[in-house]
Amino acid sequence: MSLLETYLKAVGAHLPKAAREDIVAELRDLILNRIEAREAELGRSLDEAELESILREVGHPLTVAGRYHTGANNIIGLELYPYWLFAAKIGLAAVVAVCLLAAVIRLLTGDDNLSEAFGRLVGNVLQGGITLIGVLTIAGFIIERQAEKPKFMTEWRVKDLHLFELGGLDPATLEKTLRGGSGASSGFAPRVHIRASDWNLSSSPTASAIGAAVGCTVLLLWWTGLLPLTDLRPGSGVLVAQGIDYGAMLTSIVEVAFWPILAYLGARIALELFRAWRPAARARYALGQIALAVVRMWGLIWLWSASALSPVIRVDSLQDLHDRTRSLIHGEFSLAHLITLIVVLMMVETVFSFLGSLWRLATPGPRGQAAAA
Amino acid sequence: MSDADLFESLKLELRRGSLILAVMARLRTEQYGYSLRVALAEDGLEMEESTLYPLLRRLESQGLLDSEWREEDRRKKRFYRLSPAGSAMLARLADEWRRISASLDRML
Repeated sequence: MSLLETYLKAVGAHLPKAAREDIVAELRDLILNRIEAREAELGRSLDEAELESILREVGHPLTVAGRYHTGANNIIGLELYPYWLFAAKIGLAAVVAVCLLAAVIRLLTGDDNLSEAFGRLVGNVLQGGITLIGVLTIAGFIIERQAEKPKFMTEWRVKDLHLFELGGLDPATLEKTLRGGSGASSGFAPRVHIRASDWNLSSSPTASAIGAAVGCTVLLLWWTGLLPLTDLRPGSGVLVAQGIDYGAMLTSIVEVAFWPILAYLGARIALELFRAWRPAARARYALGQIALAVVRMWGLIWLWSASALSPVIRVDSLQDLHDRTRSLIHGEFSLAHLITLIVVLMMVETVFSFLGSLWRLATPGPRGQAAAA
Repeated sequence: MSDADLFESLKLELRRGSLILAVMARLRTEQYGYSLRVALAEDGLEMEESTLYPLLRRLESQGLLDSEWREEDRRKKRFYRLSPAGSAMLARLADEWRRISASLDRML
C-alpha cells in the first residue's frame, strides 16, 4: 500500500462512517494536487521523504479527522470550563480538609507518627483528588452534550455569588476577602466591608445549598469507600487511644448505622440540590430540614445512649460535661472527651436547626415580606 | 509574545470572520477545492486546505452550497457552487459586511 493510501486509511478510520468515503476522496484529491504542484516546482517526482513531508503539512490523521467532526470537539467546552474549574477547586479543598482531619486524628491517637501521617495524607489527597477530578470531568462531559444549558449557568442572582468569592483560593484573595473595612485603601482599590450579615448564608440559598451538597457528597463518597480515604473510616483499622479500642466500637457502630447514615446523606444531598434548584421553595425546604433534623437527633441520641461508644462518651450530668470540657481546654487531651463534646454540640446544632426550620416554615420569605409591604 | 507574533495572531482573528464571505463570494462560479484555494490566494486570502475543506462541508450541510463529484483529468473532483439559499445568504452577509466596514471606516 502506498504512503498516501496508508495515510488516508488512518484518517478514514476516525471519520464518521456515513461521510468517510466522500471525505477520503476529497482529501486524496487535495493531497494529489499538492504533490503535483511540488513536482512541478522541482521538475521531478517526489521521493518518500518529500511525500511524507507533504502529508505532515496536511496534518496528523487524528487532527485531520477531527476537523470533520460535527459534534462537540472537546470534553468540556469554553463556557462550562469555569464552572468545572470552580467545582474542582472547592471539591479539592474539601478533600484536603477531610484528609487533613484524618491525619490529625491519627496523629492525636498515636496511630501514626508525623512522617507516617504526612505520607498517608499525601497519598489520600492524591487518590481522592484524582477520583474527584474524574467524577467532575464525566459530569462536565454529560452536561456539555445536553441540548439545554443547566439553570445554574443561565438563571443566577447576584446575592447567590458569595460562595464564588471563595473560588480564589490564593492567599492574597482570601486575605482580601477576610480583611474588610480596615480603612486603609489605595486610591483605586475598592473598599470591601465584610459584615457578619454578608456571610449569612440564608441570604444566598443557592450558594449555601451547593456548598452543603458538595460537602455531603464528599462525606458520602468517603462513607461508601468510593473516595479512598480509608484511614478515618470506621471499621477499617485499629484505633486504640488511652487504652480504649475505638476501632472495635466504630466497627460495631458501622455495622448498625451504615445504611441509615448512607440514606441520611443521600436525602440531605437531594434536599440541598432541590434548594439550589428552587431557592424560593422555603416551606418545602424547611419541611425537609425538620425531617432530617428529627432523624439526625434520633441518631445522635442512639449514639449517646445505646451505641457501642455510649459507655465511653456518655455523661450523666452537666457537671461531668463541664469537667470534660474544662480538661480539654486545659490541654488534657482525651479522645472520649472530645467525642462527647462533638456529639453534644451536634445535638445543640440539631435543635437550633429544627427551631430555625420551624421559624422558616412559620414566617414568609423575603418575597412574602416585600409583597406584604 | 513578540510584537510580530502578536500582530500575526490578531491578524488571524481579523481574517477569520471574513473567510466565509470570501468563500461564498467565490463560489458564485463553480470551483473545486484546489481551484478555490488558488483563486482565494490570488485575491490575497491564503487559506489552508485543512480549514477550507471542512468549511465547504459545513456550508453544504447548512444548505448554502451544492456539490457534485465529476471526473476531470482522470481524477474525481468535488465541485462546489452556491445554492439558491446560499446566494440569498451571501447578499445579506455582503450588506452586513458593508455596514460593518462603513462603521469601522468612521472609527478609524
